[in-house]
Amino acid sequence: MRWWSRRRNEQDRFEREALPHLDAVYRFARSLARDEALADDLVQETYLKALASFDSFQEGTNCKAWLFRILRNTFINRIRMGGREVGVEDARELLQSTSLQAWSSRAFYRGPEANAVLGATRERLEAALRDLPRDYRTVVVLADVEELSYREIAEVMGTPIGTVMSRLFRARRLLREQLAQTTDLALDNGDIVPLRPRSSREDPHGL
Amino acid sequence: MDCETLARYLDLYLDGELALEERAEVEAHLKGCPGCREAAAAEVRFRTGLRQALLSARAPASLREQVAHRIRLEANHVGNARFLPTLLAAAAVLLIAVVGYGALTLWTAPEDPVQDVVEAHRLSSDSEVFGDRDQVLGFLRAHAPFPFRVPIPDGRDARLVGARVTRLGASPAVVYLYDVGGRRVTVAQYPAPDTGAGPGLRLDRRAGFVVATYGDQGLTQTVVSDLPDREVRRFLPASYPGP
Repeated sequence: MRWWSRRRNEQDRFEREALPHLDAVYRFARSLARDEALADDLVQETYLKALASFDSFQEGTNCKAWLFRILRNTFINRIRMGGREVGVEDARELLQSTSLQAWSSRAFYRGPEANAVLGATRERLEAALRDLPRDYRTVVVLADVEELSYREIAEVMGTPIGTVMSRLFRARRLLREQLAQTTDLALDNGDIVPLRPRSSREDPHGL
Repeated sequence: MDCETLARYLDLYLDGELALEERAEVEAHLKGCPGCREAAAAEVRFRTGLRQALLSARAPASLREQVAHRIRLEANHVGNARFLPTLLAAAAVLLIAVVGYGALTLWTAPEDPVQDVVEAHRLSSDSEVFGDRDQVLGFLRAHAPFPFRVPIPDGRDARLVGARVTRLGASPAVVYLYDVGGRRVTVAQYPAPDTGAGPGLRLDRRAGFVVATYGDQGLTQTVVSDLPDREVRRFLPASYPGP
């Protein structure tokens, strides 16, 4: 096969395999990086790196997980270069501040938090996820949104499967707690709004 | 399996990470326990809701286009990179050719037409006419751009076998080809630069050939041959002592 037609085939295969995951890669980038421009950058860099090392992708394996691994490594490198490694410290803090330890795992599934997601808008869910430490956010997104297996998540994050399992367990509970809190808050706000003092001059329509 | 155990396994069960046996145990418990069944159903609702809400986030069209565009650019670039060694080699050959040609052009500038004669001799350039002496002289009479003078008369082992009319640098020239005892001798003849004194005799060895250049009655001759030094003398005017 001539070099240009081989290259053409490879590029076609890459576009066929990798491009359909663009939305997922974008979502994961947004969950890693709060900054939208950085997320866009990460997506592009991920695809360029993926194209460059496409021969290392094993056909038949999960291309989405492969792209996620490249994306996460790219992101981690960026953070290290920027000197802003965050997540681990505030994770410990957050875990200690919650009543997580005291929760009976059986009560967890039956509590009102389990229903907190119902009726929650995407914005509120994203906000609750953003409040999670990054690694916790990552496992929840990879497991519950992108439906990767534990093994695939472990490969993306470069951690043992056991770490994935324990992080996932905690992250799910943290997320539900966050949601329950923000949902209560939202209800409170709903009650308060009509009572808020108005300035008719600044807001002639009373809105 | 009791309810506490089930709670520990529920995540794994819903994540599809349980082995067949354990899965069967979980399912058996769920079948007989409405409380756990409701807990599992609530968890499924949560995950489905979360998933559906977050999956609705899509990459902006502009990003999609940019990625596709850069992939194509990069793919072409990568292709070129793979082709690069060949391109570089071609470029190198071209560079050598250009530099070489430039150098040749410089070496063979009008002030040193000798090199052209050497080249003509070395490459055994085609004469414009081949034949016996009469044919060659006939050709030169018709085409020589200046009054030419046959360098030497034919002797027993020296025969004029060809000639051509050409330019050496800026000067018109006639190049004679002799066969001397089976060896080639090239004699270039061109009007001498108008210095009056003439260049005198200069002997050189270039590219392995003996090169004699001398002025004679308003013409300069350069003789290039693979003859022994002694044999070159017969091409020189009698006034020169010879090598």
